[in-house]
Amino acid sequence: MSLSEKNYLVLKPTLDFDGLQLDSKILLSVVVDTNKYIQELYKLFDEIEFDIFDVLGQRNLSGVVGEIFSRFYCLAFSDFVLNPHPDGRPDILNITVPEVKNYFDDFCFEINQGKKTPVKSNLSPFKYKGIEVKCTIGDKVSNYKKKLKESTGLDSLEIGTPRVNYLSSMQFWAHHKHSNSLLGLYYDYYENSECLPQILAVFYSELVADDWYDVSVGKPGSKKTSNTSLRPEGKKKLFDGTIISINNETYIEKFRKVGLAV
Amino acid sequence: MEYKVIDDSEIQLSNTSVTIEQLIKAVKQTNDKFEKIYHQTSKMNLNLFDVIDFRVLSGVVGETFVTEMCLVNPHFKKNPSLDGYPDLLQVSTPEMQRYFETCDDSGYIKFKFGGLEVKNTFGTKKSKSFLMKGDTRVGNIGKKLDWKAHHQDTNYLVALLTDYVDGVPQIASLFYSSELCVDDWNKKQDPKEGSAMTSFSTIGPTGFKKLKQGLKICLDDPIYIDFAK
Repeated sequence: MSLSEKNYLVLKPTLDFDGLQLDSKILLSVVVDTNKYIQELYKLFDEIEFDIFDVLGQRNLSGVVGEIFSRFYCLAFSDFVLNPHPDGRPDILNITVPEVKNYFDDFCFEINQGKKTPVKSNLSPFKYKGIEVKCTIGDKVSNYKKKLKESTGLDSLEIGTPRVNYLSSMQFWAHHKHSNSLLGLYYDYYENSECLPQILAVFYSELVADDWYDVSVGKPGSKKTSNTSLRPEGKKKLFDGTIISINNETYIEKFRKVGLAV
Repeated sequence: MEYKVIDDSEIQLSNTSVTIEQLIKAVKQTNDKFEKIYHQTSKMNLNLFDVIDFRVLSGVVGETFVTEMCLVNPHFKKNPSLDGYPDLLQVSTPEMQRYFETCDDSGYIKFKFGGLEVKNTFGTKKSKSFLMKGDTRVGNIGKKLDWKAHHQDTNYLVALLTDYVDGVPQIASLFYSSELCVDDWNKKQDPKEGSAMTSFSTIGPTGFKKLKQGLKICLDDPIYIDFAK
């Protein structure tokens, strides 16, 4: 089943960003477009016998869902553009104000060997405001393996297995500790949509550097990258800013346990 | 696209082998998949290769080649563990097959019957050259290719070079060596503070030389042949 606008609850009428009031209904249409794209992508890859989500792996899937969302966001809200540099931050730039648009056009690109290329030093970070998009499938309860085995016979949570029953919390990770405007997305392998990854909740908050823990550096020999995550007070701000939620009792109940203002 | 065969000898493992025809078939099937993905997702207003992070895409090429190799040669199984080694597990005898089917996760971490490891690179951009996603890279990448591994034990390596051809990722060359040793890999680099990189080891000059001498196939185009030789 394809999720449509009517499958969601809109909990706040607007996303208030830097003096702009962005219509939550348009934001919801971005969620629906992203979900549809993911469904189409699955069908397309299935036809050529290729499990795209399995190949991407859980490690990369969250980032890809966030990227797809960001691109549809910029199509829906025309005052925003994607940060053109692959390492740029924030992900989405607000170029509504003429001064910012001029800076973006005049200082964020250069011509090199006949090609227009983004200037990293002016895009990472971009000195004006923008939105960072982060996507999570949530953290698992500590005894999830036992619970999973008892209820499904599976040994581990695989790509395509709904995780809502094992959801304990949601955390967002970053490589830097800094103030930002964070748009958080929660997705799951939604049972009513053929267990495909679908965005089921959206939250937003302005955060300050102290809302993040100090950056921890990966240990020698570890595959882990250096990162930081949100402190409880940062999470509270974000979850209090829940704008969109799937209208499904199982999820709503779990969202409330996690702390989302649903 | 056609490939020029540089070295047609088979890849020999303890209990199986891979022919040059099988390698070409797996490469072409991988390329076909990327071409279809490019065209279909472009029709949906969002070319998937614009979305996927470059490092991830490089891994996806390797993963797809692994999947295709398993279809082309049933003596291999894809390693089911994310952290497993090698990528293509040798399961050419009933004993190997049985072990593959019954071992737990730890059995895949360093599969005792071995197999082939697969690594892909898009090449490292030359300094002062400018490349955007989707640009053809050959001519703007350094001669030394930097295949990366999480450890220095990697041997029996199928090393791929991929490039964008008309905006579509396509495998340009396939190199192979069964003679890599720990010293052929550079000392492992740990991530710098604030870096998004994982810890990794890059193929060193001696390892690169071995792989280069093991060039098996290359796109039949002088620019790629000159680069790979």
